[in-house]
Amino acid sequence: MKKLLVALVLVLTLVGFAAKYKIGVAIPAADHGWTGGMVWWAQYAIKQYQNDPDVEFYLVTAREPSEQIAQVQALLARGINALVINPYESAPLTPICVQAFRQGVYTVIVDRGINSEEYNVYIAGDNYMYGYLAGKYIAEKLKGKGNVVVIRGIPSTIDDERVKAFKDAIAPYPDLKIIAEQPGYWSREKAFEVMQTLLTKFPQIDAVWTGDDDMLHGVLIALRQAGRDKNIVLVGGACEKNIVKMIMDGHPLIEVDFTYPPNMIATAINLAVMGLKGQSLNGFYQKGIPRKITLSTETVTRQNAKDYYFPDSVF
Amino acid sequence: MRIKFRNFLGKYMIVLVLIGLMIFSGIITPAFLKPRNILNIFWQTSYVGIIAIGITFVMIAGGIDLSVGSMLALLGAFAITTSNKLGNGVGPTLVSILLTYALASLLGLGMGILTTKGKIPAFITTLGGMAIYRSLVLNFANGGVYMSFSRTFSSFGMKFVAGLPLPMIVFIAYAVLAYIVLDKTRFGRYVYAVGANETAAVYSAIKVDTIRTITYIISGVSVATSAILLSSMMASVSSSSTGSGFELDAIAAAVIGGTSLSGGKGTIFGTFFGALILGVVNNMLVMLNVAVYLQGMVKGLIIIAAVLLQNLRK
Amino acid sequence: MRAILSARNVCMDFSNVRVLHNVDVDFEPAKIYGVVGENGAGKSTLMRILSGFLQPVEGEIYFEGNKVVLNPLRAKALGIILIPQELNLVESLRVYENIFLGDEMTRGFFLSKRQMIEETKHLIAQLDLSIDPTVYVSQLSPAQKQMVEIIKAISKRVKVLIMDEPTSSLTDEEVLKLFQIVRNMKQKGITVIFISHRLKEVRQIAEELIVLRDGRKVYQGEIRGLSEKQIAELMVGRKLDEMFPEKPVPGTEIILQVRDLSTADGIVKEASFELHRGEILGFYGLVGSGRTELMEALVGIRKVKAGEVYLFGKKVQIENPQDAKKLGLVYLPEDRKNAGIIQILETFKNTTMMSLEKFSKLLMRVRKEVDTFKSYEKKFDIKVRSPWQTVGTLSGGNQQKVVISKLVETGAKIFLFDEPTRGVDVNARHQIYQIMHQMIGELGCTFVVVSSDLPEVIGLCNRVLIMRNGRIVAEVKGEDLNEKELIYHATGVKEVDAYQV
Repeated sequence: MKKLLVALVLVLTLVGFAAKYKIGVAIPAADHGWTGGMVWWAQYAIKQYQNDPDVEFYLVTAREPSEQIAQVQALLARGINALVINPYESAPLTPICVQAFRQGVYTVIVDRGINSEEYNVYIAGDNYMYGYLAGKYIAEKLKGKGNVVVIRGIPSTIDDERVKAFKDAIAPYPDLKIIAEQPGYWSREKAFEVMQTLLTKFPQIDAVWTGDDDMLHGVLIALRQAGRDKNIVLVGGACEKNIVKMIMDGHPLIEVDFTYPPNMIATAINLAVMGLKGQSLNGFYQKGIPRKITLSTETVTRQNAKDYYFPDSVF
Repeated sequence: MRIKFRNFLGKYMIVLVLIGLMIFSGIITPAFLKPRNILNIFWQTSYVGIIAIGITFVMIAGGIDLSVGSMLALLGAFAITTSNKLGNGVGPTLVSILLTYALASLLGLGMGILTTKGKIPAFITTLGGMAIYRSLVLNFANGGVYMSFSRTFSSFGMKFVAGLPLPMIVFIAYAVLAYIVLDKTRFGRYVYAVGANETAAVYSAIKVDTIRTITYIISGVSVATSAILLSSMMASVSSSSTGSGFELDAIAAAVIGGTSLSGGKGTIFGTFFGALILGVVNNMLVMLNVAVYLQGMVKGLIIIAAVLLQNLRK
Repeated sequence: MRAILSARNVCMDFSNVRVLHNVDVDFEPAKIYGVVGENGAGKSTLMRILSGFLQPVEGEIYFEGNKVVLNPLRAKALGIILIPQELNLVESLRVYENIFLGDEMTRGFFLSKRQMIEETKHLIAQLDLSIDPTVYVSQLSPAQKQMVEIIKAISKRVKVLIMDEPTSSLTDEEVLKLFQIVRNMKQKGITVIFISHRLKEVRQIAEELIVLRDGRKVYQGEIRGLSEKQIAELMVGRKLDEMFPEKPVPGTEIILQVRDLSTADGIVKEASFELHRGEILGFYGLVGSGRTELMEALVGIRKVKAGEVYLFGKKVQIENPQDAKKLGLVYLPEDRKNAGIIQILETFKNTTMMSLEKFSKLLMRVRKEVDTFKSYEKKFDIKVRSPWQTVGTLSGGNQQKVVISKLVETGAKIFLFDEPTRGVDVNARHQIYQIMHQMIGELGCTFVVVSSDLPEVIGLCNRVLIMRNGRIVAEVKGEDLNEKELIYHATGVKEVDAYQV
């Protein structure tokens, strides 16, 4: 596999010698919806440059950290000018990213940080607001009173941060009670099972927050099957396209969604191009690209949903 | 008399364990014992349960099948894709179901031949199957979701018949059928013989390879049954998460029910209740609102205790 | 003289089968004991109890007059050492490391290698042996390994040394050396308990004889004055001539003819023989001479490269055991535990395992199976608590009867029996011979018997074919059917003393 890749890069060397800027994009392979979306968006962003003779891209996807390291090594050997990378894991990928930076490669780290400050740009989503806005919306929608169920993802640091933010947001409302907090492991089936059980236990549930939209699908099925798909506030997250479509079509229970956008990779690619070309961000008095960017968590409603709906994306 | 009582206890200990668990949960959370919740447990258990029944055949014959979880996703995705292509209606849905069973049998046959004729340990062939099936599912969906657009296909998974959820009815019927095949037929007897002592089975003029291969086909057919029910209910299959971890749950259910990891021993009765114990534990974790990070420990302790209790009689 | 080690009323059960019945036995210091008995008589079990590896279910052990409860460590501390039949050496360690395994000499925290090697050299010299203490055990010959076990024993403070079949892998010369060592140990006041089935050796070395039969001690006393034949009769509990029924009178019709059969693995080479209706044809030979392989080839378990097989005058092609079964040819494997029975299955299911077609239409007819088993239970005198008892918990003889019932139930006419009485008690052995004769008389069956047991081959068979290095080298019958002749053909060497009974 690695050999094949090196060969591929070599072939590309011979074919594309003309471009001024060579940009390597290294991301994990599509192993679930969100990473699938990231692959789609990376391809999308690269396609936008197909008429620009100055830039040329090499997109690689990895199934494990060691494979990604080998890919980045091959890209560096190829002589790339910029590296856009969503590290598979922080620790193992840190040395190779630092090496790239020291070699003068314009290094853009996406979403999962590395254990070093040696990079040009770090761009990531906002896990805190992702949970906080969901909590705030539910609190306001229920007017600060009611029973809330939290179905979280796989217990992990990201998940913990989101859940903590959710709790921070509803803390000012003492009458808003979290009656159950259970893991749904970012799986539809598991979320269905958990919701089915909770519906039996609790006769009154006013709102459900799931860690992502996939689990929200499972919850919807459980509600429909139990005949309790009314008078309940549902919030997921990350804007899976089918949920966004429901919002767009005016779903009675799901009115909002919050972004944790896989298209941050597209932004990162643009930033790399701008960085190489020495362009500045509009509205900034400074010439350089900001070094640390936390993307805002955007609220998707029926009014703006069409701007967030990408039917061709896998996510 | 005492011996009889001990035999009785040995055979039905697992039922007592299950009842004990349910009473314990009921005392802490009365909602647990609501008829509705009991139905839910049966329902939620049925998907892993049906697969566990298939795996029981494989394990008694001395094999193992680690591919069932990924296979579930693959067959579910296949069922959804074919039914989407064939369109709405009972006829097309039936055809897609039959095609799914055909594919499942073929996959089982392949596993069986690789392990028996290819002389590759079942652990390796099915581990390979696990990786291959998952990779195929991910590949065709780019990591995304297979959505069902056939209203017929996505309707029966939620059906209630005579007040009972369809998956539960299928689970029980499947268990009864499997019990008859394993306990009352010549084939079933051979399955035990092959797993208990392969050499003696060869010397007894039993077609060991054929018997083994059939157990993998049974496992495949069981996975297909579960996959069709699950993908119909969810009207979708997630290429990354659907079925992941099912292999361990199914093997655990069989082992809790007394199936030996080294072959030759086990019953459908045991697996059926083993699966229900797992289902009760999963349900209990949610019902009792056990803290997220402690769930693994509670689940692990209960499984070990359940097997320990059954061993104490010896 | 006061006994150093005694057993009083010792009983032992394996899976609810009693294998030792109220054994009383005393061993005096500085004496050499010979313990004999048939396979399964309980010799090894008794010795493992005396050395703490097994706990008796009843009875007591006394050491130097005091009641003791033994475990292996306690026994070792008292100076009771067992050298088991299956040697207990770690092949991947060096000789001296094995000898001091568990009692390593240390200097501070560190192993004192040099000291251990010196000590080992000293011990080796004491026994007048030549073994390098630093070679790996895996490089030693079987005899050398046996010697290392003995060195290991005497490196400790040994008072009672138990040797289970120490000579089975030794040459005559090595045996003599071993005997010299044993006599030296006696001089030092050590009690030696010597277990063997080679009666000649026992008569050479032992001063006192202990005979076990079916888990009971049937004799303890002076060995002087007992002939090998008398010892053998003590072991089987009857006159040797009564052990075997009258030989059958075979017909003239040739029902099985094998021509130039060679196996694909090259073990069996161009074997040819004929089998007459109603006869018992013996196959004798050393271990590895190809007897078992020939039988396996005949029933399709082992691949055949060349050769022809005619059954009842018709040429047949047997590819697998299913073919053989259909043609009425069945095989009783020599490895009963692993190839004959299915231990964890119920007894009646073992009996019907090869003929399930008879007992099922769509579903199994368990009642009919149990009834069939019960008829065999009566006919073959199978001792079983219930048809549902797992067959692994039966005694060796009863297990073998179950295997035979399984073969008979197929309705086969030709039976290939490989070591049919190995590990079977005397009584059951006698019964198995009776059963074979009954089958010849009532069902018109024919037998091929592969056996390493010379008296069995001689007493049971009409004719005996002898195999050596994969070939059938001779046929003996009538007057010539005696030990000398058989061993001569099996080894190819004249003037070899037969140790075997």
